[in-house]
Amino acid sequence: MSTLATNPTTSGHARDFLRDATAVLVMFVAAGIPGALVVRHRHATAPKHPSISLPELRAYVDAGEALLLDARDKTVYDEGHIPRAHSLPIQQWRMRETEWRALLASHRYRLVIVYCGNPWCGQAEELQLALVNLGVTRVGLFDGGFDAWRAAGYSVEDSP
Amino acid sequence: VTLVRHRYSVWILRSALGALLAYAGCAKLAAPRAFAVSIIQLQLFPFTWTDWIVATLPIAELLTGAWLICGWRPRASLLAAMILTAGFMFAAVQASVRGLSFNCHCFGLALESPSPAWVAMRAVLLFAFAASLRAISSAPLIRRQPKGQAS
Repeated sequence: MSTLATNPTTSGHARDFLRDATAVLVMFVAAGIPGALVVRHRHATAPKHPSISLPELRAYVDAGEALLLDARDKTVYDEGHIPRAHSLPIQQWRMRETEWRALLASHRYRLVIVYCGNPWCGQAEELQLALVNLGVTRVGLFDGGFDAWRAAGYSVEDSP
Repeated sequence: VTLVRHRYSVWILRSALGALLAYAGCAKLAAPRAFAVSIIQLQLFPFTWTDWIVATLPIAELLTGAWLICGWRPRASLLAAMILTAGFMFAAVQASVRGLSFNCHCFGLALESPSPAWVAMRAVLLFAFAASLRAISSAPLIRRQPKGQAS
């Protein structure tokens, strides 16, 4: 502090830096306000894609009424997955898009359910986004993922 | 002449950084859900913050980019760019060190998502670029001389 007070050059640099930092702060706040408004608007107008709970998923699996898509890597899928689930790793989405377009166009299910490993893996949300962009009208997300299914003690299928 | 050349060089480099940030901001605004997925995959923030970050960060990038290009208070704009790139650097490096698999839609969906290590390296280079530009801009040769003093 004494250096700042006694050295006019250092003091000038500190003042400059403070001015710069204030301008930056104002800019970030200015960016935050429309951001908050956008979030509020988006929450009010977002399309409602169903979130699937564990008992609901169990009912759909037992009845075979939904097309179940596993967004995890194929190797992880092979080690164990929810019965009747199809593997569609999001990394392969672009390569297999045509194939999946055809399958989805012909599928008889009214609901497609996507899942990945756990609530934080993110792959299911990405696959959901891809499917919605593809025109699939009802894409449910099973938030709990495969970990929740296995933890509940439900049956698991593995690939040969 | 050297002074003018330096000023133009710094302006060009600063504008290039500004254009890059503005492009990244626009790309994220165009694909907000893909960007949201990237944020979730980084596992750095509580889940409930995702929407706010997704809405705010691209606007901050866009404003910083425009600010860098317009040239008003250039060192302040470079400080803003340094803060943004430092944030990207921290996020990418921690994800790379933790071995997280994430798709960086940093420049939108048009480009293929590179590996986490490459994203981290790119973020470090961007931060170094912004910091170097700010250091150069602070040099006496580049800083505007007070009126009445010879350059």
